[in-house]
Amino acid sequence: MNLYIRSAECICAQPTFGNKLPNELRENNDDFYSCIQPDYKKYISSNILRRMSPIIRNGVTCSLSALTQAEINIPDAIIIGTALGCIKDTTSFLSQLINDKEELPNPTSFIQSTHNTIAGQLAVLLSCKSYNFTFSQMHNSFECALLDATLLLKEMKGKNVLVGGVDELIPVVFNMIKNYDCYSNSKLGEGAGFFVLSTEKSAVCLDGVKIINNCEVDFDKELNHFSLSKNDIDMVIGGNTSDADNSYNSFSNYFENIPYVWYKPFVGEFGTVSSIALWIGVKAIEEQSVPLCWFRNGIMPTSIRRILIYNKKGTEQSIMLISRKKL
Amino acid sequence: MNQSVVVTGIGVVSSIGLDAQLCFKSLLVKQSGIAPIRYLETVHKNEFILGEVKLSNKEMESYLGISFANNNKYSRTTLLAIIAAREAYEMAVNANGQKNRVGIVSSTTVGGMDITERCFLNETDDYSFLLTHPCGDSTKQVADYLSVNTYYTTLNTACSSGTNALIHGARLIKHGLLDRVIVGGVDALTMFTLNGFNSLMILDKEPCKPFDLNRNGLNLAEGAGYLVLERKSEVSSFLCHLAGYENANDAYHQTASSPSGDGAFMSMMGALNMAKLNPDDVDYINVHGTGTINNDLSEGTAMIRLFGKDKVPVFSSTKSYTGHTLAASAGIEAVFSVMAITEDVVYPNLNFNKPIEELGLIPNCEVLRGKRIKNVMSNSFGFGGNNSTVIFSK
Repeated sequence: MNLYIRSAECICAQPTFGNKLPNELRENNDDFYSCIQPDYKKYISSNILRRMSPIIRNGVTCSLSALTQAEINIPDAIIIGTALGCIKDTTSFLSQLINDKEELPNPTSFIQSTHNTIAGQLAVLLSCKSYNFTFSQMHNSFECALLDATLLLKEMKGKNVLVGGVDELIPVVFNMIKNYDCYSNSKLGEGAGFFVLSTEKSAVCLDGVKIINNCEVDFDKELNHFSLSKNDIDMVIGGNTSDADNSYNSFSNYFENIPYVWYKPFVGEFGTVSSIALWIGVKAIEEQSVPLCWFRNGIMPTSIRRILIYNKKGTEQSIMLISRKKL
Repeated sequence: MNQSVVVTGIGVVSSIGLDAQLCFKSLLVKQSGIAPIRYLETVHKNEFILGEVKLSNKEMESYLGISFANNNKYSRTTLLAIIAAREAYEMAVNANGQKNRVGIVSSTTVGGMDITERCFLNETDDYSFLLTHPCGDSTKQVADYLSVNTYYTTLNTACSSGTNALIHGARLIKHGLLDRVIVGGVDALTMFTLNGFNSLMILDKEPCKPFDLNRNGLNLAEGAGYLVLERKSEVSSFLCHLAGYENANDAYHQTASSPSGDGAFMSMMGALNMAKLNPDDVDYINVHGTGTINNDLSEGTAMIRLFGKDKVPVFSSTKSYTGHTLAASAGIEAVFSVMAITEDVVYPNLNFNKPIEELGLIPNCEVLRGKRIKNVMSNSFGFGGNNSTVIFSK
């Protein structure tokens, strides 16, 4: 059974929202990459918006735009991945209760601190009473959500699933996270990538998502799993954070001479950043071109039929494969 | 893909016992685990009663027979998860041997918050808590400890999390992605959740009274509960079938359940449909039954809608023993549901006096033995309007 990505939306440090792949990349001299904020009020009424933390705003806005693009009013399921969840509300509630020596803190930030607040808010806003899941497995949070969505659709439990990844970064959290070992060579970021995954045909096919918990990956074996070989891949999207990031050496070596797009140097590193990579991949197939600024190795593809997306952080790794389908 | 999924192992740790048998004994002698606070550091120490697991972190380590060089690396959440997951996994291995592709789908609402809040309190520059804070940490620790890391993931849909972990895990088994999966949930008591639920004013300072007219809130608690799922065609023995499940959303309010109980109605109905059962076939419902005004009224309304006013099956809330263990509750109650089937028993609901006027529903208040318990339904509902139901069958 083929599954298709009917629409894709992205909010991050680059002007991606409601846009094609940007031709120019914004430079950023701050400590970390913050999202370019879309006009939230086009999607969320201001009295509701006021109470929402950045992760909820971005997650909800990105979702609503993805649904509009796919011309879907109510999806058959909402499945979201988030690595750290509503970390702003969590830290604010925690700080408040510690500062006030546990004297009746305001419940609002507690209510909104739960990881599934974004998916729950979407259910209320859309009156969507169906399946509603939130995954939180650090750097594979989005991939787990995507995997669950594919299995759900294969069980014929629906036709259109809203699936996405979202995380937020605020200064207080940045000041802690920057000390996190695995981020030591990375500029950090935040963002959201949401998709309508569907059984109904469209231009981009999701061929598979695979989560690998190992130190190394045998790419021959993994491609073989999808009945593919290296020659079938027209372009790869890799998760290197910089040229100094040598955790991707075996990946870059394996796909040497294949057009190589990277993105973390422009949007930052975070738990669900691979959702941004999938957005880039979908746009590349739809538009059949990628602006030069996104390429790492200067090799440009002639046609973009099949893309492999690879992400790795420690032993948590994932492969996503998408391809072009002629309509 | 239409593979029958069976339960081959159970493991639990809660305020009423450190393993499944001890919890089961407590249920049969009506022994609640809710007590004055002994372990949690909080200014509310003399104000609330909690369902604490009766071991310090150090004692848990020696109970497990392990000792960690760096205590900060293992949250209380991780220790609880290892205790229950190991029990469940060993039972499955003893029954059916080793399997190739084994994974774990766990769930937690606040992950390693116990360590995080200690660091916030001490205002340290030690940021090692960043490793233990994420929900996925305790899952990865269990996966590493039991060497079951073909696939591991974590759900967080608040208090319905454990059932949703079971649903995702069952899917991995049905689609042949794993040969064996540990599913369930864990949460440790924290200052964060105690103050959170207190700020919502839904904590009862007395033992909770699920489905009672004068119920006044929940007792917060901790623990872990896990099941092992496998394909029926690939095992020689099993405890019961995983017959049906469903997740639905109330789409009503971030924290409150709808008066009509739409989400609960849909999750129970969906699980029955998947199990191909009629409402009459249900022998026992282990209800969510937190003891809050809102939950019990909404859940009871949904039960009457689904089963009919005089046809609601025998039901009880085991939260009157364990307290509300958040993400762990669905895992723990799934274990209790499985044991209701294997032991043909229905557990009593504690602290019940008078039925809720609007409902007139009376929970089972005595140990029921001697009737064949074939199909058990277990409900778990959470913030974000998240409603889940699972059905186990003989």
